[in-house]
Amino acid sequence: MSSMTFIGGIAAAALLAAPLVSTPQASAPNEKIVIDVVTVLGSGCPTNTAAVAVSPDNTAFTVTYSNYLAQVGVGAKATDSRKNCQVNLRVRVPSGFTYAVAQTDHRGYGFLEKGATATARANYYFQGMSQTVYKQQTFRGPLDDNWQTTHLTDIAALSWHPCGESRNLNINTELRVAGGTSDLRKTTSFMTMDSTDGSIKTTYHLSWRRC
Amino acid sequence: MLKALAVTGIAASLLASPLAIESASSAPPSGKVTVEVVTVNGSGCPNKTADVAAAADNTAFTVTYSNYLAERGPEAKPTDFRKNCQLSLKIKVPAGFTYAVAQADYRGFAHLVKGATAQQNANYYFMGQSATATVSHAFAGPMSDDWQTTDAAEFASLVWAPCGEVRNLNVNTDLRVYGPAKSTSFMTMDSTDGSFSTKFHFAWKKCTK
Repeated sequence: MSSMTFIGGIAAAALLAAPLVSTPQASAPNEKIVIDVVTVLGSGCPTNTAAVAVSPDNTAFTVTYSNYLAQVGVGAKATDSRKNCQVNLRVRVPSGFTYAVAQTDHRGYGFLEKGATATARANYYFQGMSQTVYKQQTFRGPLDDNWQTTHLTDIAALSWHPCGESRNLNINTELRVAGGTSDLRKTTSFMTMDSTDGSIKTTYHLSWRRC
Repeated sequence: MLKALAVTGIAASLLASPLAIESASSAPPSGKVTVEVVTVNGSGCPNKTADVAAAADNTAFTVTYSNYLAERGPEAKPTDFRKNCQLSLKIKVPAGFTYAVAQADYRGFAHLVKGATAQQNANYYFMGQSATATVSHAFAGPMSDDWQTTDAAEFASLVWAPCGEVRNLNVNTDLRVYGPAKSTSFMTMDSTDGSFSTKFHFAWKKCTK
């Protein structure tokens, strides 16, 4: 409510007292979205198994994992077929409405027997909002190689945080491995995630937006 | 309608005195319901397996888990079919009349074999009160996919205390997996999100005359 009246007030001020107030302008090239990594936790990244590096200008980050591995077959528990890791980001946005694209690069290694399959998946959502965007890539055995996948997510499509409330962005990655037609009594198939890189780039920026 | 009236009111005051723009724009936004996670504990979220991320303005939070998993099957202990995690939340309610929507979003993964079923339950109660609201969501195998549920409630409050009030809300979630013991079925909770979206808020002032 307060933000509603606040923005209404600004709009009225801009229209009625235009000479006194700088006019709203589209595009402000030097306005960046900056990111802070708040938490990193999941079955694939329990406490003390993930490290976070943030760029000096806070526009990008890298999370590395020491034990993010999903597996099926010999040596695997039944619940090892799926592991996840959720990163929570505090996103500081320049005032006004911003249209931005979040890019994440996921890298790892896959060893899949013939007949086995794996999925690297990520979902993106803002705290307090049900809307969730899923991105995924499927892999088929035989595979014995590094893998890499890039996700581009329109932030506007995720419904940017509501007027007057700040909400953190969640990125929940997961790895799943399925035995399929491979022999689980004799072989092991697994997928690891070694790192997740993220950045949010501003595509365009308007200096204010009505609720 | 109420919003429109209020906005018109502000616009009118600006019309009457353009010099008031400065003070109007520097007024801090207030009158929001805020929420803070005080404790997180349960069989599904023992020490060091849960983390809390709060929004900068404390209107929302995310709890993530590394080991919130209920399991049924040959590798599971008989007691593993049910795991819980209780959140104790400090809710600050501003003085005046507030109308907000409280929302909880739960996300996770379920692998249920044919014949297996699962539940995701949440009990909501205010500290010291016996009234409990229970919301239950059911799942049935075969499934092997992410799941997501949402509980939402209207929150209307009238607070006379000039500094607002603090109330403690307990949210006890659990996951339960039932079904054949010969093959493994499991369900995880990856995250719990809570938020208060304040839709409107009226405060009052004492008359000075």
